[in-house]
Amino acid sequence: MSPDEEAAEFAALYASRSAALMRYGYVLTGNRHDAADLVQEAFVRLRLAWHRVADRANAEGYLRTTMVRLHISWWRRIRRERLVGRVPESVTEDAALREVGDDQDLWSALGRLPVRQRTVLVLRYYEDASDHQIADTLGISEPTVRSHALRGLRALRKSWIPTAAIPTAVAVPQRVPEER
Amino acid sequence: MVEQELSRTLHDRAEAAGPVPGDLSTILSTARRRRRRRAIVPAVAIVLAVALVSGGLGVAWWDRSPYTGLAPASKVSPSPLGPAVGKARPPAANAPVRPADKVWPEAVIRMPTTDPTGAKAHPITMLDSTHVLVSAETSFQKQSALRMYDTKTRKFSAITDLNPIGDLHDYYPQDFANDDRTVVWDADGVDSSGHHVVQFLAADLSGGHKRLLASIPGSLSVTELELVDHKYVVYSEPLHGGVYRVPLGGGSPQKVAGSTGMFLAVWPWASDVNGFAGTDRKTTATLRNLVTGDTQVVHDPGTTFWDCVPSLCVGDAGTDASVVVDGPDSHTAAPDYVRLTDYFVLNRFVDAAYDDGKVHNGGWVHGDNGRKTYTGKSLPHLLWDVKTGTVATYPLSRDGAIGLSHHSGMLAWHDPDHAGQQIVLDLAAVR
Repeated sequence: MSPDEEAAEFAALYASRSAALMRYGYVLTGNRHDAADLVQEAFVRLRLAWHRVADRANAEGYLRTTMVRLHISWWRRIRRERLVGRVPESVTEDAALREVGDDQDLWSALGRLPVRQRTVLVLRYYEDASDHQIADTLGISEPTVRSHALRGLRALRKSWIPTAAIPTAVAVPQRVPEER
Repeated sequence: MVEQELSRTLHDRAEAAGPVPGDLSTILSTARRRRRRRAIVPAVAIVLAVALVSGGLGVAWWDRSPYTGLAPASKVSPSPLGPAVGKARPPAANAPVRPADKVWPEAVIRMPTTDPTGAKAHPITMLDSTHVLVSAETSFQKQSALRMYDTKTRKFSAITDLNPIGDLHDYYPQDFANDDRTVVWDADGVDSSGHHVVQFLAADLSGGHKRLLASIPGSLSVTELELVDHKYVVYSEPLHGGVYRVPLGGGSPQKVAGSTGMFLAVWPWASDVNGFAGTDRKTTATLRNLVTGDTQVVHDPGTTFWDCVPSLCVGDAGTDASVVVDGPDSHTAAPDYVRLTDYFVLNRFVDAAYDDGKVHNGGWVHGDNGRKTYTGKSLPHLLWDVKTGTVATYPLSRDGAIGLSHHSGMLAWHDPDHAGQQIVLDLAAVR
């Protein structure tokens, strides 16, 4: 394959998959800025190695793995995984997000999780990855994956009240003391 | 139920992500320019070094010799922890919040971003006022060697490699600790049977004598190490607590009596509070001296605790209100802009986030010189010096390093004004 053909093939990959990868980056990071950085850096790295990539049918898998490892790596420098509240952008910042009908509390609670817990939950519930696949991707053991997932879900359960479970204001009948 | 809702929320949110900004050609050309600029830096530096040496200043700025040819490190003394802080001082309610390197210039040093082999040089901690313990990152996420950087001579020297002892793969050194003679570290790896193992290793700060202290099954992930009395390395089990010690002469980890459910604070103190362990936020914190058995119980009505060190606990009192509890019936509340307080650094600083209620443009904030600084997330990071009440922000750079712990107060980020240099902030040097 000539260099021009390779470039065209790579451009086609970007055109067809960058939007999906942006969505993936967005749920990983919680904001567009970091999501875009992840996608762009992953494509840059793949482009540099493109002539050596034998399994181009699996290029998207390579990109996704690169993105999640970059995401962990950029945060790995923080020795202590810290909670960063309000990570997801506010829904008031973007009209498109106003149309989202999901649970804002749950999204916010997800943003407050440490990065590894959040990443494991995204891989599990967005990518539908098995614990074995997650362990391979993150370079950790399956028990550690389960531990992160367990702790993340537990934190979400603690801080999240299902929208349907929030009672609306109703008149509470006054209790009448029993006559003795 | 939360699992189903989480899946739905993630997929719904993803649909609102929008397109990647920029077309492919722009992204690739920008990356090429960035890489080319990086490649030019060493050449410029070599010319500069030659010019300076020939001018008689004797400054060895850059050394292209291979790792094995570097001079051995000399012994140094560790930085002492400062005295305990008494009453915590709150930040001013409307103080201007400035970058940490401007607030504490006496704590700033500069050093190259790469070592003589071209590996990224990530500062870990100051060994004394002029020597920096550095890890060399040769490839993606791979810390491959320990170096020492001398800020006076501007030379790197070799301490040891960080390769596994034995046949391990997917091997990642995690945390480091040192005294005046020895550096120790733990590393997670996978053996030939596919089992995860943790290795505890040590080397002499004078260079070499790398040895395996202990190897245990499992994965320790992020935990904090401390060297005690030239005899032991101590650490906490990161998920469930329990403080363990490994003899520096080698041997299996032994659980320290009375440490069940406790996390290492500053030896010999441990506490049952550790927000990073995913434990429930506690309304009562217990600090225990694991040598004498002395116990302090800290309770502050309405406060849930996140982290404790001897004589101080940090926590939340109601929504987003951050406090430091510094004695019975005594707490110091931070102003509203100090958010998400989480961890003590060197018994003096609280790591937190800065939130003035404004949107910070997806991770970029304006510095006091008008320059924009990348923070990595939407809230800039902030340090609260509870000894003086001073606050300062710091950038979270992808190419920088953050070594904030109970024992280490090291921050580093690339110097935007000097290519190839990084700004290193040693909080232990703050007056």
